[in-house]
Parts: sequence; structure tokens; C-alpha cells
Amino acid sequence: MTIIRRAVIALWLPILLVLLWWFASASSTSLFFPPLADIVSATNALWIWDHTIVDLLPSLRNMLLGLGIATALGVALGLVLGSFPRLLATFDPGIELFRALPAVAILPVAILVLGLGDSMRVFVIVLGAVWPVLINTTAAVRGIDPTTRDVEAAFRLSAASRFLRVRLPAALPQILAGVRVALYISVALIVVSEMQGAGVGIGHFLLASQRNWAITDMWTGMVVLGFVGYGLSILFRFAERALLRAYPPQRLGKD
Amino acid sequence: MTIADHRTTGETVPVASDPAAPLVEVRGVSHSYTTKAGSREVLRNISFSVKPREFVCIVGPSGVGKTTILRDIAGLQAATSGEVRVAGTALAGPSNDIGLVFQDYSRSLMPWMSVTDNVALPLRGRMSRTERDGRVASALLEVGLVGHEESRPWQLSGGMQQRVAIARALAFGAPVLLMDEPFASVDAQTRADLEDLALRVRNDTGQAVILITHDIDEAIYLADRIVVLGGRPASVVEEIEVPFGPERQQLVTKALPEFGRLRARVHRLIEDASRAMTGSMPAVEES
Ligand SMILES: Nc1ncnc2c1ncn2[C@@H]1O[C@H](COP(=O)(O)OP(=O)(O)OP(=O)(O)O)[C@@H](O)[C@H]1O
Ligand SMILES: [Mg+2]
Repeated sequence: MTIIRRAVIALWLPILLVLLWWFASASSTSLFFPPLADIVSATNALWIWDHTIVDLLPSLRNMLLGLGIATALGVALGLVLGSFPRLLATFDPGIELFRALPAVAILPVAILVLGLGDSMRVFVIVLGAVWPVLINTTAAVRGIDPTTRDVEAAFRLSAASRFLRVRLPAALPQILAGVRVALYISVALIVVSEMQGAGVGIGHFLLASQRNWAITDMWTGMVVLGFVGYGLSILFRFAERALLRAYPPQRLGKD
Repeated sequence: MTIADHRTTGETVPVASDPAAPLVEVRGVSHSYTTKAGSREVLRNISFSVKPREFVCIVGPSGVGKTTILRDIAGLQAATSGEVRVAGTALAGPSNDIGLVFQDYSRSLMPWMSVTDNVALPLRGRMSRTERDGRVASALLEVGLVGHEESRPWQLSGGMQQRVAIARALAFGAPVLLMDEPFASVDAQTRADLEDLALRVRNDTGQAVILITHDIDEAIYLADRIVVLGGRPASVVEEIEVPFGPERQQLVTKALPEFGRLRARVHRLIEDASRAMTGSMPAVEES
């Protein structure tokens, strides 16, 4: 009962929009806006499974690699910076400066230095996605309750215990909120970075279709990207729930 | 090597040959806080000592500096002058010889850890897994939390959470237990239970206990000796021996005529101390 109600509440708008799209485009002869029915059949033909294997999987692999490195880097640096206020005071202006620079603006430099391969794409994702994780981790560690710090000190916890058993888990809810933002950034950046000199990848597919006037194909790429983004977000929510299972309920997102 | 290194919970603390020799010595401790408004002396020349197995309560009016002296003893902050010695060694920072129980159990326990993991936390990296498991189990047994090993603190009542915090300090295996108003935020019945737990722990493990409290009845019920702080800056106004022995019972002990006399005496001392404090209120010196 409640599951059906929640599904209705979550899905009525997307379903309505898809229906609107379907009927409004049904008799379309415009080159740019093909009927949704055509897009659906083209999606079946193209993405089950040829382009999924050739384009989508490499994109996902690079994206997850970049996101993984960004998360590891952001958490590690954030734990250190959050733990030492004087270090933070030294690095904070630099962090603010770099963060303000859009990662896309790094793209030309990254291509010059790293060429057009996967390492350039992963690098750009890391550079764009590391900030929300770093900033959230730093803020969370700085905000750890003074009593918790007293516990660390009074019981003379080892450095490993302080960082891995106390500060990391104490910061985890905020870290995950940062990783969620980093996930959206990564999806955007993998698409953009593949529009430059990539032979495969969903970004390459989108741009190549558009350049070849295969507009229906281009639309299928966008549909697939939409589903992938939505799927990743759902997967992330499951992971978040699992990781925060041991935490007091009010620290979980309200839903 | 300290005596803490040789003991496990449940055994009696093996203490240096002379049982009357002080285990904790607070020697001429003064403490000043420096803020934007200047420097303010909170404690002046505090001296007292605690013998092995002794239960000492520190009382005094609100804001007199009880938490300050506790943090100095725990090594969480350095006294401005004077020293604290435990088992003959001057402390420089937190020590393996002192187990701390904080007032605010909801902040001092790690909410994401099970009861077992909370109690085991201070022991990690210090001993074998088998020894750690043994200490945790006997500490949980001592505080009556068997059966709650896998619960999270936030799933437990306030009294049970404070038992977890006490178990953690016990498992740590220090010869001295230090508690800052440990029972201030639980209801009356739970409070009485926890007081009896604190007495039993001392009797079972032979640890010395220093407990800070607002509550005069609590101090008399628990203490072998009461240290009354007063004044601004605070010093030891009086030390009062409580002659009730190690075994006490809430209804019986509190009904003793001597209990009433002690209560009146401590009451008067604290009243005088707070009157003296409000009388000489602005004690801020420019620095
Ligand atoms: N970190 C600090 N910086 C400046 N002043 C402080 C600090 N901590 C405590 N004080 C001041 O020192 C005095 C003693 O504080 P303390 O907390 O030790 O008193 P207390 O006896 O524990 O009080 P309570 O009964 O309310 O717990 C108070 O006037 C307080 O305002
Ligand atoms: Mg206090």
C-alpha cells in the first residue's frame, strides 16, 4: 500500500512528461524532434547491447575510477586538514581558489599535458569531483564534538584509531553527502571530456551522432544517459543506507 | 611500567607496598583561563590526595572550578602551576593510569559503534584480541550490560549509556577512575542504581575514584572523603572524612544520624562558599 503510494508520488510527473512527449511528438516530421516512438525503437536497436558494451561501459569505468580516486583523495586530505586547524588555515585560500575554477576549464590544459586518452578524462573527473568530498570531510572533522576529542585524548587512542575508528565514521554522513554531489559532477564531466578526441564513450557517441545528422541516435544517447544517471543515484542511495545503518535515525536523510 | 599495565578488570589492583601512600597527589595546582577579556584565575593552590581504594567526592558551588580541576587531573589541559602525581609520577598529559567517565554520555560514546566496540575502543592496538575480548566481557558483566553487547548507544536508556561509559573506563584498566557529574542527567531511581554501581565497582576492582558532583547527598553517600571547593579563585575550603565504611545502602546509610549532621555541615560550607563568591564577583584581571 505505502510502497504503491510512494511510487505514485515519485513517478507521476516523469510519467506525465513522457506521455506528453510521446503524444506531442507522435506525428512530428521535424528533423530535430523525431517521434518518441522512433527514439524508443532506435534505443532498443542501438543500446541492446552493442553501444552499451562499446560506449557506455568504458564511460562508466572511467567515471567510477575518477570518482573513486576523488573520494579517496578528498577523504584522506579532509581528515588531515580537518584535524589540524593551522594546516587548514594555510591551505584554505588555495582550496577556495581551485574550487572556484570550473573543471571544464582545465580540459584544454589536461589535453595538452596528458593527451586525449583515458588518463586525461579520469584526471579531469578527479579534479572536478574532489572538492565537494574534500570540503565536506574537512567541515565534518572540524565539527566533531569537543567531548569526542576529549575521549580520544583521555584514552590515548592511537593515530589509527583516531582517524579510522573515530573521525572517519563521525564524518561519514557528511562525506557521503559530498560524494553524492561528486557523483553528479563526474557524470557531467565524463560526457564533456569524451567530446574531445575520444574514439568511444557516451559523450563521443552523442557528439558523433549530432555531427553525422543522426539526430534520432543522438536522442537515444540522451535517454540512456538519463537512465544511467537515475540508476546511479538510486544505487548510491542504497549504498548510503547500508553504510549509515548503524547511525542514529535522525542522521539519515529524511525520506 | 605503571601498575595499570599489570591488571585486568575484575582483579584487585596490585598497589605499591604501602596502602596508605597516596595514589593521586594534587600539589599546589593553580589554573588561569586566558580569554579576550583578560586572564582569570579560577583555581589557586589546590592540594589534596587520594589513597588507593579511596572514594573522594569533590563538591562546590556551581562555576567554582570543579570541571577545571578534573581536566587538570585528567591531563586534558595543563595546570598553570603545580603538579598532579599518580603512583609517584608527575603527569604530563593524559595517562594510562586514569580512566575517565564524562558527564555527557550521549557525546562521549560513539553512536555508530556497538556497546562492545565502544568499550573496546581504548584497548585497540594495545593488546591481543583475546585479552581485549576478556576485558570487555568482564567490564560489561561488572556494569550489568550482558545481553546488550550488540546494541548501539542510542538504542539504550540514559542510565544504560552511562553504564557503557563506566564499562569503557573499567576496561581501560587504570587504577584511578575520574568522573565529572556522571549521574547528573538521569532520573532519580537510575541515579541511585548508578551510585550503588560506582560503590560496587570500587569495592570489586579496588580502584580509587574521584567523583565530582553537585549533589551533597550523593557526595556523602559515596565518599570516604569529601573535598569542598570554594572561593574565587577557588581553593580547598575543607576536607571531610565520611566514616561509613565501604558497604552502604541507600535507605540505611542515608537514615543514619551522622549522615544528617554531615549534610548540614557540607551544606553550610557550600552556602558560605557561594556567598563569598558572589561577594567578590568581578575577579577579572587585565593582562
Ligand atoms: N575554557 C575556558 N575558558 C575560559 N573560562 C573558562 C573555561 N572553562 C571554564 N571557565 C570558567 O572557569 C570557571 C570554572 O568553571 P568550571 O567549569 O570548572 O566550574 P564547575 O565548578 O565545573 O561548574 P559547574 O558546577 O557549572 O559544572 C567558570 O567561571 C567558567 O566560566
Ligand atoms: Mg562542571
